[in-house]
Amino acid sequence: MRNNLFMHAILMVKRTLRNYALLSVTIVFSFSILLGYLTYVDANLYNDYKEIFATSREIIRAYHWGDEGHAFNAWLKRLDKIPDTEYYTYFETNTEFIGYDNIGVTISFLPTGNIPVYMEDKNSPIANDEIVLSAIPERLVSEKQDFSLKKDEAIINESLFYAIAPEGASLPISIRVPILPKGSTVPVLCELQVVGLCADDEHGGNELVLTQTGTVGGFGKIYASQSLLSKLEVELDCYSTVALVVTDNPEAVYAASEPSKYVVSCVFLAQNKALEVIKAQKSVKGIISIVLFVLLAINLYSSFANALNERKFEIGVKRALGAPARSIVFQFLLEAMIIMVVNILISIALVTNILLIIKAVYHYIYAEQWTLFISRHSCYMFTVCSVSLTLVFSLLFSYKTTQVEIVKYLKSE
Amino acid sequence: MRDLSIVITGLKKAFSHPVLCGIDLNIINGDYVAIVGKSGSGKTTLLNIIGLVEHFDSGTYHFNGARIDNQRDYSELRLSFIGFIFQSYNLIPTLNCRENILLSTLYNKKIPNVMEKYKDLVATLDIESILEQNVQTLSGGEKQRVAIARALLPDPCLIIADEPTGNLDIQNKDIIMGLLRSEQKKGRGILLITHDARAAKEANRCLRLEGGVLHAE
Repeated sequence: MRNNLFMHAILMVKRTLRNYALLSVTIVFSFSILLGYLTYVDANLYNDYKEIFATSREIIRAYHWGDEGHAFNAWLKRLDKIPDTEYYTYFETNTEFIGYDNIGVTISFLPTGNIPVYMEDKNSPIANDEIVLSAIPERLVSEKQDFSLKKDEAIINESLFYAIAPEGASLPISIRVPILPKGSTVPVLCELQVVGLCADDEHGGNELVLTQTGTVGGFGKIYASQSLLSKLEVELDCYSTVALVVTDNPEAVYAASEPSKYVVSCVFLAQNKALEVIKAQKSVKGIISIVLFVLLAINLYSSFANALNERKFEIGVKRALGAPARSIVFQFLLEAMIIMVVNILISIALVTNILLIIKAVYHYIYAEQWTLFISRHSCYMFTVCSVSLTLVFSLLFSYKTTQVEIVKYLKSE
Repeated sequence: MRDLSIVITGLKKAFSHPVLCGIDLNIINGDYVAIVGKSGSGKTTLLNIIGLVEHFDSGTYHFNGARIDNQRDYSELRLSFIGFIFQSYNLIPTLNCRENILLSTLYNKKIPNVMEKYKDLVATLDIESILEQNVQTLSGGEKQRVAIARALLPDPCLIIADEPTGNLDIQNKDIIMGLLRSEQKKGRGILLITHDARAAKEANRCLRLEGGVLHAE
């Protein structure tokens, strides 16, 4: 009998779709708003912070410039006492690029071997335009996929390459960089072969742009080998020292530092800050979801009541013919659940499609990679809303059928 | 045919004013009872009480030996023993004729040889050609024949007919009255409420409901 009633419930849903139209529109509209809101907020947060969270929190980048070398070195010595911590250092300098008046470059002299290279990301606003310095990995974009360099090799950033290379040129190309030898005021020009390209800074740091005068200007990046410096015996005091610390205890490493004396960039600070923002958003999301939930419940109540009014004659006839109340309850429980589940699925499909359109707009119009994302917390909230509303209103709807007076609605045809 | 025994004594029912003021009535297998009376005399209320879809205030009502208690739902008795035929047919408009006729099979799996009975009924009532039609497209006579098939399918021992010919032309009236007579001959009890004197004459017993009490005609 249950099986027959199940098939009958499906049949009645099909035959009374018009009665369910208002209810269906209410469900699709309300659940789409709820899911759309949750997903859009989550996706925006995710896309804002995806780089920060994709970056290893175990990396800390620091550098000093000028007179604070002893404080910087003292910090590096203190790192020896922090377990699971190691670091390496390299030198960096800013200079003009030979032959181009408007182009400056940061030249980093890396130690030999394949080492991870991180750059400072100072343009990641976390909230309220607050800037948290973090270290993000340098991305290689040419065939060469590591930073191991011979003494006459270099890696430069993409926009610098396109600014200086002849049109149609491919790697390797030659560049000249000025190095100041020890005890001299005249720089020596060293010729280097560019063997690889790294990405421009996405947040507008090291990249070259077309200036108003029609010339290319800005700041480029050059990575060269540290063996070049030892070959020329340079005065290292003229360079800033960069330390890249790899540690399982980033909090301890940061706590041991003196950020007022030298610049310390660590992603875990940015991650912690981002987590605070996400937590605050979670509370806002929770409040808005509760408001939407209540509005949805009110809408559903009246829509279910309307749907039931249209069916009271049918209930009266069935009851008069001998249908037990429990069978009517079961039929309407099934109908309500079918309507709820189908319409919730439709709203999920609808929201997914709208978000895919937003993704396409970001991709084709803004040339940005916008990832569709929903957090576990939002999934949980949406599931709780869907399941609880489905159960409560299906049960309420079916229970209300028991209150239909047979005689009253038989007469009402 | 299953046994039928309805024994009603001193049954009273009031809404804003008294409607039934002490009804005494017995119905057994093969009885054909017609109840006539003015509009508002309480005929339909009495029919609904006998049909177990409405409660009464006082008195006793025994259906096949079981005392009817106002607090309970007697859907099982309605399903197995009572067939309703209404003036306004009360067919469910979202179901076609076949689905309306077979409605009771959704709730009662114990109807013996149900498909055989269904085929016989459909043939007897001459409604084979309209089985898949929407009930809203049928004429009054066709609707009533579908409603009668629906009422007879569970093989009830009591048929309660409330003005079954009220909306029909003479030809269809004769068909329906003939059907009720043939069902009575099979041993079913028939309780007919009508304004139609000709229809009332078909019954073995004709009672007038007046002042809330039944009088023999």
